[in-house]
Amino acid sequence: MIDSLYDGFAFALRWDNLLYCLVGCVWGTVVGVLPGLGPLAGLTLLLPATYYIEPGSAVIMLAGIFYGAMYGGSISSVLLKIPGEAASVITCIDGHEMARQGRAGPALVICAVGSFVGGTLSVIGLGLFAPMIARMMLDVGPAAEFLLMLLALVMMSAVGTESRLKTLIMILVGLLISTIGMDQITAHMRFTFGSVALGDGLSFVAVALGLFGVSEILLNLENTTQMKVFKPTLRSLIPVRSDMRQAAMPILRGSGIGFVLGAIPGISHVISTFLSYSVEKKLSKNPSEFGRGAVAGVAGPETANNATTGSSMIPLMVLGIPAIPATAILLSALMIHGVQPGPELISKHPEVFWGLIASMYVGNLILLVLNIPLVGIFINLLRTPYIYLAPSVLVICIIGIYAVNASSFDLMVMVVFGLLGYVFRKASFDVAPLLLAVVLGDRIEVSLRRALIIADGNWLGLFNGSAAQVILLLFALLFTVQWALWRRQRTPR
Amino acid sequence: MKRSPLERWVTVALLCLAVFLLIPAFEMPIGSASNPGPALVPLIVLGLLIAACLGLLISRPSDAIQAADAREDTRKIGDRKIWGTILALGLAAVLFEWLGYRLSVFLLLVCLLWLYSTLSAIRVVLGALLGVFFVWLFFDRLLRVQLPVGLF
Repeated sequence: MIDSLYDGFAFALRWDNLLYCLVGCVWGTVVGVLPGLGPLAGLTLLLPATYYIEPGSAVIMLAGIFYGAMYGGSISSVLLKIPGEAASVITCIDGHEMARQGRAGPALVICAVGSFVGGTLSVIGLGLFAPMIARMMLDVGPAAEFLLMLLALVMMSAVGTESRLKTLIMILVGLLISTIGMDQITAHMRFTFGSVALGDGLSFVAVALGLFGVSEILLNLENTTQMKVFKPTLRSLIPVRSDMRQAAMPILRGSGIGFVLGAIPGISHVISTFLSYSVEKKLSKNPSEFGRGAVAGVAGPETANNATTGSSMIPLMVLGIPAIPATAILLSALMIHGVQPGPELISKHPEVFWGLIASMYVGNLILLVLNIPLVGIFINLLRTPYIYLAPSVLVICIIGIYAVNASSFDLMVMVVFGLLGYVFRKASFDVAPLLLAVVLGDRIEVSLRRALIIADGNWLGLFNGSAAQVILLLFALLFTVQWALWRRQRTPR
Repeated sequence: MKRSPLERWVTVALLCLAVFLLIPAFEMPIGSASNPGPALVPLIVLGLLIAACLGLLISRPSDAIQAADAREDTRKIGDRKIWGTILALGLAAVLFEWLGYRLSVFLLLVCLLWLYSTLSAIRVVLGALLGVFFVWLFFDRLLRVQLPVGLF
């Protein structure tokens, strides 16, 4: 492993890869800071720029955008009380309260340090555990693969922030969309209604950018009022010793919570940040401080957020299962470059895997060194009127989508899904499960049908084998927890 | 309290779509138990979707969801800016290859800036020209992305 990591560093520290990492980190922070963009839009907008570079470098840049956006999201949460992306919602509570008390600087530094520690520890975990899980997964057959992907979707439905039934509906709509086009096993055309363009199915990138990029802009256009931004001075950025002492343990706990939850397919950053916040509140000697500018309320969730980013690469790289929509774009980018994520990725493309790990160490350091002195520039970005930002982003969306397949049909798909995403989100349907179901749909179907062929049509045969039985046990555990929670909610107090 | 009207309309629309798609799904080869055909997954998904939509329509939302819906006011949908943006994007998508990227981006930017801002016509045109210049510089010259030239 040490040799592989050494090779990874040799690849990541090449001057061109350092540049890609820097560009990714800065661009990620910019899109994370700006409310209404976020990691998914940031990744998609820069996706065309990666077509002309080698796969390892492309992944380094895209991963930089991903974790840069996670850090950037905390800046607007603290200074504006508007989360740059969903996982930073919880930072708004105590982070913004600290800013109101004139302690925006320490809040931002605690976010940066927490993000650095969480990100670095999770990358160490990624390097240690991913190869082990990959070796285990090499022996897994199509039945266990099907059950694992199903578990990821069920998990998402169980822990979703919206109603479970609505999340289930979105998952089913996503699975339905994934069946459009030519059947992979029999080459039969499904739901194409005679259209040649639909024969290849819908472009995942166009669907993703429509659902998240375009619909986000439409939602933000409804409220374009200019907000008051706190601007901390450089001197005020230095936290006092008591702040760092209060942040130390929450940062360590946040790293653990974020890492464990991120490694589970289907768990998003939002869950790990909320769990970290509630753990810190429970462990605090002064829980009443939470909501009034508690340092632990900023340090824990922000660390958990970035730790989840690192460990969410485990299901992506080793199982080929994206935990959140942003990692689905990473998956798509890898596939565009001919790299198939899965158990064989580490042996077939070691430069991509170990290069990514090494670049994440470097990227976390870049974010720590760059973002604290540059916070003033990012604050000025928040002052950009949305009426100028929105047209620019929409134009980049159009050019970016066209560049993927040189197809104007993809542009139409993006616009239609932009409208659908807007309507779904106005009706309080979460579109993230829909997108993940679109990504996983093909593989779920193929593995189910292959497993049925192997089991000679016996559905109970899907549960043969130790891997399938372990996953079945996880299903049982999940349903038991859900049932217990449901019972607790219904019991009159 | 019942679910918001928009939520019910979306659910009904999805239900109707699922019922409609059952027709082509039943026309696909179903295969056998040991060699399932392309109809298997669509039929399972459509069946579950119909059941889930019906379940959502007849179920009562939890107190927490009702409170969140009341805060967010999900009834109003769209205004001049929203529908104008969708229309402009739709037209740009349809005409992108025919008009070419320069003219399409220029017209799209003119429409969007006119919709969102209170700038004078000359500034709107100048802003759109500046946008086209940046697209040309960044995507065409720098990244060498193949974009349609169209009429011009």
